[in-house]
Amino acid sequence: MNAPAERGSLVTPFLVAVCLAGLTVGMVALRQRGLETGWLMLALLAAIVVQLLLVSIYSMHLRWEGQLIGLMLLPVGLLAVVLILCLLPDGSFASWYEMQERATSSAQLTEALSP
Amino acid sequence: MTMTPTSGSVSHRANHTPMGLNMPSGKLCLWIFLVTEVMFFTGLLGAYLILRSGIPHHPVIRWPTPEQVHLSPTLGALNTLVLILSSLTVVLALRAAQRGGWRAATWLTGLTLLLGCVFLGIKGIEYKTKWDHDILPGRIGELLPGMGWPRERDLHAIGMQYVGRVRRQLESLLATPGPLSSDTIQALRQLLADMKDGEAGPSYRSPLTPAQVGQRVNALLHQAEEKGEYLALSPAIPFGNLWASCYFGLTGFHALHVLAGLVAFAWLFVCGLRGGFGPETSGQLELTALYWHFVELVWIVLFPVLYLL
Repeated sequence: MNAPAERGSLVTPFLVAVCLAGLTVGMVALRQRGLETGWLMLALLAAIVVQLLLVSIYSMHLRWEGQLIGLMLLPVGLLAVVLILCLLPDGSFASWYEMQERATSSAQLTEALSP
Repeated sequence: MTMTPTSGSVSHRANHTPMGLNMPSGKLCLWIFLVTEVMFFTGLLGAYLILRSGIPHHPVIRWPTPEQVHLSPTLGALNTLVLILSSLTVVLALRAAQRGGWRAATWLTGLTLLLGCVFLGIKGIEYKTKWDHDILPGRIGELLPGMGWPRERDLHAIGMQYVGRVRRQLESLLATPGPLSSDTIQALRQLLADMKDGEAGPSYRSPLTPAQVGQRVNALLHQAEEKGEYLALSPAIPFGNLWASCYFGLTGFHALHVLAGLVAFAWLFVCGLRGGFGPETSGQLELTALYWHFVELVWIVLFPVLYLL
């Protein structure tokens, strides 16, 4: 195996590390400020996406790897997102079914106890 | 292609056009492996999200907060920073190797190995906290008062198992109380008495339900924590068992991946110490670095999902 080629300047890894660390500290600070759950989720999601892009593009050298790796990762990335998006409504419906069941059970109990 | 006049054979060296992929086969194999790993962790994360989002909206029934399950976001953030730093040292090691600085590459690889060990050490401390507080799959009480009778009915068998476990823990604590204060010992005795079936006759009282036991145990644990005492009692946290399974499953598989990376770094470090670092080892270091960045990538997703939400 040949020695790998050097990619990017020396400053880039340091900048990437500082950005990643800053975003991590920022996420913890946001949580400790007691941000509303919806906004916190959005902020965390944005931070995660930025961190993922930084690591994959600069640390994993996707920027220099050419189209092949990009083509390999594209369907997998899409499938991963689709999988999560497909599962989420199922989870929400499970909650809704349980609420329905509880409502039915309570109605049955009320009916049974009523004179 | 050109004909060589000496042998008359066809020489493939002249006007050589690279066929196939412009990438070492080892690297391509690693990328294919990483692609399968993406799907593996997506499956795990998807399972976690569906379980978590399936929790009904209820004032008592909700997904455990990090504080309830003794999960420290600060410790998790520290682990993230350690992994980011290790990612930087591996990049620097690779750069040193690319410039022929084998000695620097060896020591930077050693530093990455050390940081990886620190990551696992912090993870070990977290696991120890879970062990000490009995926050383990199948050991946590699921019922608390106010959850509604259908849920109490559905989880009655599990609740009775929890009551039996707490009874054994109380008996064990009272047999060897150690440094517990007299107030705490008295409270433990009272709880054990209340859990047992009452005497027949006018003084009869019904034993505590699993939900009531869970509430009393939580109150005892809270009081003991305020006094700085340690009680080996299983807490009651709705969906605590599910949380523990998800937590140990996700972080455990990630820790196994970290361990695999550390084995590769240890091998490279030993090679470097023996003076065996060269262009070939440098290529192997590049592959290990790529794998290590993937491990960092997975943790970047796991940390906010498990510790901050």
